[in-house]
Amino acid sequence: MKYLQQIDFYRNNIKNRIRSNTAGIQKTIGLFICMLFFTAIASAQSLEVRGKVLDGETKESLPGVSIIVKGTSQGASTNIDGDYTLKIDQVNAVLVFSFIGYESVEVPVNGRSTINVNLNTSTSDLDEVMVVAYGTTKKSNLTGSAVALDSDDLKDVFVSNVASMLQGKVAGVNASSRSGRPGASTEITIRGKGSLSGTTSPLWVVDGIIMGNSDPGFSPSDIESMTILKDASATALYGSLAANGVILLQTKRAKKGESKINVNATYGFTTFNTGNFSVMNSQELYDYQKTWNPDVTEDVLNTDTDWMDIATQTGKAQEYNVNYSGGNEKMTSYLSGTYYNETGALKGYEYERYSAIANLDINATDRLKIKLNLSGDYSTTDNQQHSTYAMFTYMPWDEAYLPDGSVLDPRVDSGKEYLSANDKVWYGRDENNYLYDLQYNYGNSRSNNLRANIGFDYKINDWLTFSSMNNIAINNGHSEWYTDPRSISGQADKGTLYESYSFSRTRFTNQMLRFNKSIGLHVLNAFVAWEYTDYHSDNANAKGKGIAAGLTALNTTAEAASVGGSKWESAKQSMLVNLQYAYDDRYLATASFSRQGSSSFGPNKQYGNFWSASIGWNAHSEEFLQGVEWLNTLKWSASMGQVGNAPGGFQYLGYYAFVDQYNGSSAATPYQKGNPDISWEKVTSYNTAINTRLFDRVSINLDLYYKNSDNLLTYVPLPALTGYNGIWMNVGRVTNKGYELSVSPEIIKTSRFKWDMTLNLAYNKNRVEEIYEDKAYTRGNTRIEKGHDMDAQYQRIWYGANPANGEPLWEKVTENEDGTKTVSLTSDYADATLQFTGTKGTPTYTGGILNKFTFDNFTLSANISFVEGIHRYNSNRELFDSDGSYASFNSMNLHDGWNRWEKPGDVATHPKSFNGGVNANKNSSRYLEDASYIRLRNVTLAYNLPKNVLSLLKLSNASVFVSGDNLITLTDWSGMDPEIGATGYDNTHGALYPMSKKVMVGVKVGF
Amino acid sequence: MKNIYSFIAILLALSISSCDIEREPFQDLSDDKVFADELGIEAAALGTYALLKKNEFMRPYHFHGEFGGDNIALSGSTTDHLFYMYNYQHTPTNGHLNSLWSGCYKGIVNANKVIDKAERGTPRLNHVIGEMHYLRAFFYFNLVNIWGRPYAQDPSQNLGVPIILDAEPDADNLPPRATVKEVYDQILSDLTSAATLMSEFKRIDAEYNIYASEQAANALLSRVYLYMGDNVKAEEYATKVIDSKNFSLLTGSDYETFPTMVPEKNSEIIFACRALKDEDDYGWYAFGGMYATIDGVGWGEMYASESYRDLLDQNPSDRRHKFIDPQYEDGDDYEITYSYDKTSPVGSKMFQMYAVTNNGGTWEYDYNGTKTVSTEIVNGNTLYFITEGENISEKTYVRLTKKMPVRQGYPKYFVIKCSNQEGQPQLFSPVISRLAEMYLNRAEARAKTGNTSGALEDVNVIRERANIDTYSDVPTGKTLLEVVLEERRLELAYEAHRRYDIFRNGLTLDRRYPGTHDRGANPLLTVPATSPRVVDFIPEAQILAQPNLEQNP
Repeated sequence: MKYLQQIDFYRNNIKNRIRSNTAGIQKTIGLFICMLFFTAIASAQSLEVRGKVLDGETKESLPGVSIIVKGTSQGASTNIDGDYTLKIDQVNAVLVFSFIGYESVEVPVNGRSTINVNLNTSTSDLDEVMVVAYGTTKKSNLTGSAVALDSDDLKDVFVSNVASMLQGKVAGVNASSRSGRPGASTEITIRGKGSLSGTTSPLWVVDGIIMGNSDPGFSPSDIESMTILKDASATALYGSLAANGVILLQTKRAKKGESKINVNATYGFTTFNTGNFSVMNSQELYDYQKTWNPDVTEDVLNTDTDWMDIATQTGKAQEYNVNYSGGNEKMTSYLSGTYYNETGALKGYEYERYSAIANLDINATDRLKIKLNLSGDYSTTDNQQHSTYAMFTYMPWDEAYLPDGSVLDPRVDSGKEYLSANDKVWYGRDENNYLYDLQYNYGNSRSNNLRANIGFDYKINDWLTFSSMNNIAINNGHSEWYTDPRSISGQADKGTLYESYSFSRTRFTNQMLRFNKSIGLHVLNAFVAWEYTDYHSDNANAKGKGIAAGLTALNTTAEAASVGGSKWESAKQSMLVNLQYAYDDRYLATASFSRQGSSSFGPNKQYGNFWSASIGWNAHSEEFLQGVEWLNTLKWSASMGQVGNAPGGFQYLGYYAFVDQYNGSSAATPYQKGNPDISWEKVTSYNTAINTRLFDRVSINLDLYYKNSDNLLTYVPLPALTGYNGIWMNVGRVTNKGYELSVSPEIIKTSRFKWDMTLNLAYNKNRVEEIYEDKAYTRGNTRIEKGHDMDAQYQRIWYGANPANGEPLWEKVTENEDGTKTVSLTSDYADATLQFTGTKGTPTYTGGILNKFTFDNFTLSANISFVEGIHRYNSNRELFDSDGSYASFNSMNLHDGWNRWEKPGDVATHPKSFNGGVNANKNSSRYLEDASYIRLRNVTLAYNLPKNVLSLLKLSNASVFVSGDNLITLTDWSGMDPEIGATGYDNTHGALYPMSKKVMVGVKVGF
Repeated sequence: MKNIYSFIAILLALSISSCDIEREPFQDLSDDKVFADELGIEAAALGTYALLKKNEFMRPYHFHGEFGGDNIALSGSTTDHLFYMYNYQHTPTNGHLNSLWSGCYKGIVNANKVIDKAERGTPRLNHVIGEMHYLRAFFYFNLVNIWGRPYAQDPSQNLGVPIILDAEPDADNLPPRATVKEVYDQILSDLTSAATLMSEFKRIDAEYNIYASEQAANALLSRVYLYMGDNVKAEEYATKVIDSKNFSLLTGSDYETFPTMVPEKNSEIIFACRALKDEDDYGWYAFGGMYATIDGVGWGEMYASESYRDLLDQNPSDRRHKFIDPQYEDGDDYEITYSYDKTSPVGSKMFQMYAVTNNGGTWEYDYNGTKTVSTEIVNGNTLYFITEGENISEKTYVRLTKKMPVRQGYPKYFVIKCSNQEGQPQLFSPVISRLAEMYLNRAEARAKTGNTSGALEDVNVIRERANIDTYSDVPTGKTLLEVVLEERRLELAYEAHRRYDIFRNGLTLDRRYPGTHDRGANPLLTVPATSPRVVDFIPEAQILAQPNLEQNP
């Protein structure tokens, strides 16, 4: 009765204070307090429970299983033998046994002192714990849109960076490589682009540390899991950094009681892959040029140099990783070292990386847990790479080498003499052979990253924890470019040496107070936090000239040629609040708020507020659905929230740049027109999702989203008359809406043979909704105009060749007096009308199909990714497919379905070829091509050694695998690779280094 | 362990006090700070010179004035948009022209800012303001010559370019194109102010000619009046500069090496845009890089045209031969070269070469058997001709030279008038005005006002310096104006004058010589001054950004 009186006291007290007469609230509060007391009173008796946890199927002991007293934060975990001991305060407590990959089990103690438990592998992934923004959650409790991938999901493809492992794996995530060059970066977009000028890359957060918008460069071997946060509810806490989604990366950590050494080795070959593209050989080029070039003679046929063959090779890629994980009650550690080396399929380029990581977790006291993460990498490139430009533009009629094997260059005496003695000329442009200088000149670079993070969790009491995370990341880079005095480009300066040093530093700190309380069926998690991060970078470079051949120190140069350098800083801070509530794991709600400030904005617009709210319902837990046998899971969630995007600059400031000089005195030129009122891009997003699992065989996830990006910041081109190229403005509003569907059927599920499949499909539609003063503007080949996709292409529309005379035809649109438009055709490029082409530079559909077949100890996986509904401007064709414009460049062979106009009446895609061209190779929709593709991204066959062999060899696990990347690509794209080389907003394809085909073999052994 | 609480308390306190997140750029200053003192004003003023110097302006400026003329011939097709400036296949998307347009207006607006912010008063600041007026006028002069029809063609009707004099132009309210006359009026007003403002002060004497000055303004005024057909004024201002005695013509071998000198050491320069060693060396991308490959630097694709070389070769002693550098091969091989008419398109020509051997004083070549090269003496010069060869049927004059390498059939006549300053291959300080132009301006003005002896006197100053015979009379078969313009062409070649000199005088550009301007479907081998293509298209990007700009036909 004592506590009932207390309740009355409190009730009256509250009543008096808030003078509320809402009975409902009073009841709730009463109930809440009531439960608090229940908890307090029940904790009277204590008991020690011990036992063993085994795998339900194999009956092997399970180390590292977490055991928690339900409703408290008391807990323990099993040791290497699967044993645990746990002190509990009440005899009728309920223990929750959970382990990643297994179904959680709840066992009431009922006064027992020994409890042995068998855990069964999880058929539903809903009980898995996943990492989310600033914490973890059970999948079943997730209310936002987030997808977790573990290392097995990721590490099928063989790549040097984490980002490129993502393609096709997650619905709504589009990852495309910028180049096939070893070590090249990958561009990721999540749920379409929502910014006109700011970054459209997601934010990377590694072990809770905000790393920025580019792949932080961890070795794929050290990744435990990855979570992709897609909607505002999942990302809101990252505020201004979150508009493009967030990728959370967790590095591996050790579990208590284990002690394991793993060795992984992979070795393979890469080949240059030109896809649908090929340039002409000697005969083909002759047959083509003789139709329009009066100067071409049959003499050219004596030579047929394959410049591509000269420039390419079978590249080699290799990776070796050794890691140790182990620990005891006091400390666990994960230590890992990786060596990666890849030489390009294009000769003369080598990328090498050494990386190491140490993750330590120290249980200093019962209450204090200290975490230390140290990681670092050192990478180098050696660049004496052959020229992609040359290997396709050079003429097959020119010989690359003299008979004695040295380089034939028409600029040097040996070459001149050879050509003149043999009565030959050099047909190619610029009369040079890039191979000559390539003998002497080279570049190299090195970069090292060091990251140190020290943090701790201090448990103030059962429900309150203080966490601190403090990180510093440092990058040092150096690059040099050596030009030999013997090379032709080094001739004028008698050899040059360019060196550049760069440094950057990111500091990050987060202090958080975390509240975690269960009362009966109510679970409340909350935190408040403060976070600050700042960035500094600087670099300096110098070039000296006059150098003795082969010496590469700046002090050996005779004369200074130039100096350069720059510095940059930025800072952000935010206050964060997050509340997460669950009732009986059935009803879920989350709300978060952050107030964030950024140095990117002027003093009056420096801070912004970001928030989100979401709810979820685990319907399958409802009693009325308990009887539905075929329904394993049914969950519905909905969220909304607002996040931001802040470009990293001083766009608000009107300033002069002091980077020029006149006659040696500092000269200032107007650089930026100020706009003190510019502010955050605000992205409001709405998401609703259904997750189900049916017949214990098929998981289906469907997300619908609507993303409204307002206040879009963009660099609006200004007429030159203003004295500036443009101005930063908040110009408008863009929406992205779409759906993401993920279906994972376990098609065959027998004891020996399994076939699992996952199909990801994402649809996105982008639309410019509003624009400042309705002023459409054109950037490159795209135009930002209300009602259109923001990547809508805007060009002269190509109409093929005029059947009568072979002249090029473009559309000309004239507006009539009554407002209607008449479309006619013109052969005058200048007269043709710029218009929307009806295509866009971002895909409508993206996705992947992942298949995994398991037969006894064999596993075969095949990962297919696809992109549909994207057009790209194939700018290379301005050169290679130019109807006679450039007699001294090689040309590409016609793609399927193309034909040249030859005689009146021909209906042709290509106009009449003419020496010097007919202006038909000017920028128009002629070279705008469908860049959709389906690619067999990876296929892997692995064999796991059976247990009896393993025990004989005293190994805990061992497997061998063979895998192939990019073996098949289906596309209409006439260039080499539809995925590569999209640069900037107009999706122009300039680069020419396609993704290589790779074939790898590997071994993984665990001791 | 109690300390942990104080530690946490400190961390919390830290968070609440929150850090400073204001940052500033390291290489920039806000507009206010720049104009806060005289140093900043000086830096901003030098900024206008920097804009003049930048490749964004200077390269297309040179390309337009020179590559649109007849002193040059391209030896192949190129992806560079200079191709369409050269062959008159204009497109509204030419990157060079957009760069030129915006380069001019950036310079103009920066000048406007300095004029607006700097207070007149001290001679020094007056001079700075005067410099800005001068540079603004120069930019407008280029704009109106590139996008406006020649002044002789109805200047008060034809459209020029928009005039903007604001320091902070309102992007939403920009003026449309003014007429050609209005732009010229603005130029005159700026230059007149410039001359006055700069009359009382000189920057460092030794560097007089690398900044705008009173005489630079007068020199440009002389040219502007000449373009306007105001010959009296053109003569008056040319005389002012000549009589100022600040400048003197280079003579002898000094003149032959004139591009290699820094402008300060060149007494003939009235104003040149100073390029510093290393710092301002654009290497391959200097416009000189188009003309010559020197020590491996430069494309070396644009050669001296046959018609220019014919003119120059009239006087083998002409010192201006030094600015052309034929790339003779080593050894003692000789050849003859002539150009023949290609059948299509009409008027296009190509080179033919034959190796020749000297047989006892007679040059022989092989064409259906051994043939000899005949000679004749005209005006004291030995001329060579043949009557048999590929694509010819009658007496054809040939050039006899050492054997030369060719680029796609075009012998490499490098132009080195824009290269080699201080021994750096493609370093060059572009000349805006020099004394020789003053004599030629005056000669032309005098010719047009009927002062024959005055005009010849001025032409002779130039010819004498070039080490060639002077005129005592107008030679038969030529008009006085032809004599003057021919000399002007010879003297000011490769200095971005030629195109304007042709069209402003109502002449027809004659491109009936070998060069790849004859490539393509519809080549223009002759361009009359009335052709729509005499002016370029306004860059499409600018019309898209500023819809009140009317496109040229």
